[in-house]
Amino acid sequence: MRTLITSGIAALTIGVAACGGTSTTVVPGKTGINLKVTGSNVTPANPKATKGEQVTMTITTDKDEEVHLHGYDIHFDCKADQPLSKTFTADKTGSFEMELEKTSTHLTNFDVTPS
Amino acid sequence: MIARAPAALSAVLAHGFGIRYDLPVPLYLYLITAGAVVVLSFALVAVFVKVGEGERDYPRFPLDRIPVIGSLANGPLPRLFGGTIGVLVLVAIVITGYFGAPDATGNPAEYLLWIYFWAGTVLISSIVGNLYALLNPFSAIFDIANRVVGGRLRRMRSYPERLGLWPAVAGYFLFAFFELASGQSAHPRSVATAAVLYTVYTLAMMTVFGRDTWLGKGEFFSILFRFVGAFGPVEQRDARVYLRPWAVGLTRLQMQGPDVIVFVILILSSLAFDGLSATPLWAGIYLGLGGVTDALGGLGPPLVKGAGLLGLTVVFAAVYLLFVRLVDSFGGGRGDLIHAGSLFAFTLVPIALVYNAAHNYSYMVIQGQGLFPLLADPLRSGAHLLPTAGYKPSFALADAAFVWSLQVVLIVFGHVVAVYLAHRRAVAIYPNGRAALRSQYPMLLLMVLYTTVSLWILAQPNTEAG
Repeated sequence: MRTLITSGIAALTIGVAACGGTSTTVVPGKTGINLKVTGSNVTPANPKATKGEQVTMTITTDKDEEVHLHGYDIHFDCKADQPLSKTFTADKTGSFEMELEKTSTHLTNFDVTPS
Repeated sequence: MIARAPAALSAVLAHGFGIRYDLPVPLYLYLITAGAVVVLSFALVAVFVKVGEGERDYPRFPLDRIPVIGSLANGPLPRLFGGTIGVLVLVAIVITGYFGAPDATGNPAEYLLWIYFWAGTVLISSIVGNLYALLNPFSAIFDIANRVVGGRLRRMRSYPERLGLWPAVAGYFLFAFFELASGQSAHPRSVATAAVLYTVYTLAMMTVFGRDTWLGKGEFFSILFRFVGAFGPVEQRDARVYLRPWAVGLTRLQMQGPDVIVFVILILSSLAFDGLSATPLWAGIYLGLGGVTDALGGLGPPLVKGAGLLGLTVVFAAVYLLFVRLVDSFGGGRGDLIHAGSLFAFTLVPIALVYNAAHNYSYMVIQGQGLFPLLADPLRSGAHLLPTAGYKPSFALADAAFVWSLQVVLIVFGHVVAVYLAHRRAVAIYPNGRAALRSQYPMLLLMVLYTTVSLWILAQPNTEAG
């Protein structure tokens, strides 16, 4: 049920993003990050957030992949072409590696800057 | 181009093993600090030149004036305790390296070698004093073996003096190559093999040339830590333990020769290469050399990175000697480049130490915690030795705003100390105060250069190659 709602929100976010031509929704204190993974490439590269923000990260992969966000230790079990969203508070600052867990392939870094 | 990306990305992890969490120092902070370094430098010279005290011995406090601590420090316990830890860690590296998990982040050997020993012990030795002299597992094993055979391990031949510190320079270069260029540093089996080979080599050399001779000339960890520990306040002289102010111990190092200069330059250049290899600049160079890397096949990446390390060392040495030439002619010295170069080399050590601390701080306090959960089951054999398996690293000590402040404060501090030490040296070796002051203008420029490069590396974005 919850996954269904989150994917619904994710789909909405993508819709908004597509209309606005940007992958970041502008709501104070909230950041939507929308990543598209093709092979070991990710767009947009190097997503960013500010400390304290509520981040909704949506990942779409071209094949079944497990994406691991280090530091926050969040795992995205993605099915091919199905956007998967997770919401969390950006409470740690730093540059956090994102990788494809199964092959230990580095994707990009998620940077959280001090507020 | 896309096909090249994985090779380039391996450059991100050049740093021993593991992940960097540092955010680059923001541009405004970089500019403020760099400006402060320049302004402070000139202010400092004006202050120091009035003192003009030269290079007298510094104040020392003999630790044996304090009842219990003094006799403990001068007794055999510190070495016994340190040597036991050293041998245990060496054994742990070999056993877990060979028989533990095959991935770097799951294997204690990687944490013990790269974080706790290499980054951590260097840092603590610069704050406290030469910790490695107590920990050195190779001399501990040698001493035990020698006791077993009734002290019959006498040296077989005398050490050829013309070799100087060159065996240690070669050892240090190979170690830096292993860490930063070989691509093997994140493979626990390779770490264990390197530890075994180095142990056998060191024991053999101590047997051939004598224990103390080899520790003084060929065992590069001992030499490195002697230089690093000279910054710390704990000093051992004539079998007694003293306390002294920080940094001044470096003025006691009077070793001479091109080997000495190259060794010190290698400390700076290997640290700089570690930082540089995670910058977009290096990623660009590395990608540009893609053709060469491919032509060399499997040996391509280590050879190209090794050439980068060697090249940077040559550039650092050339720049240093160029500036020493200016320093010496401004100061009215006798034009002996090696003589002056050796004397001033040690004044650069603080710059290397603060860079090491600034560069490795988050790595140590975050990635270092990765060892805790592994202690529950170090060989990944299903054991439950400690209740730490579910431990998650805390980020409390590595808030980015705090890390930035720490980094710039450290860099400025190291710069100030280096300027001070160089000034003391200049006053001691050049004929008069005016000449000594003149000699310090090029030196100051060199140090501003080094410090700005250190800061610049810390301000670079983490590489996104491809």
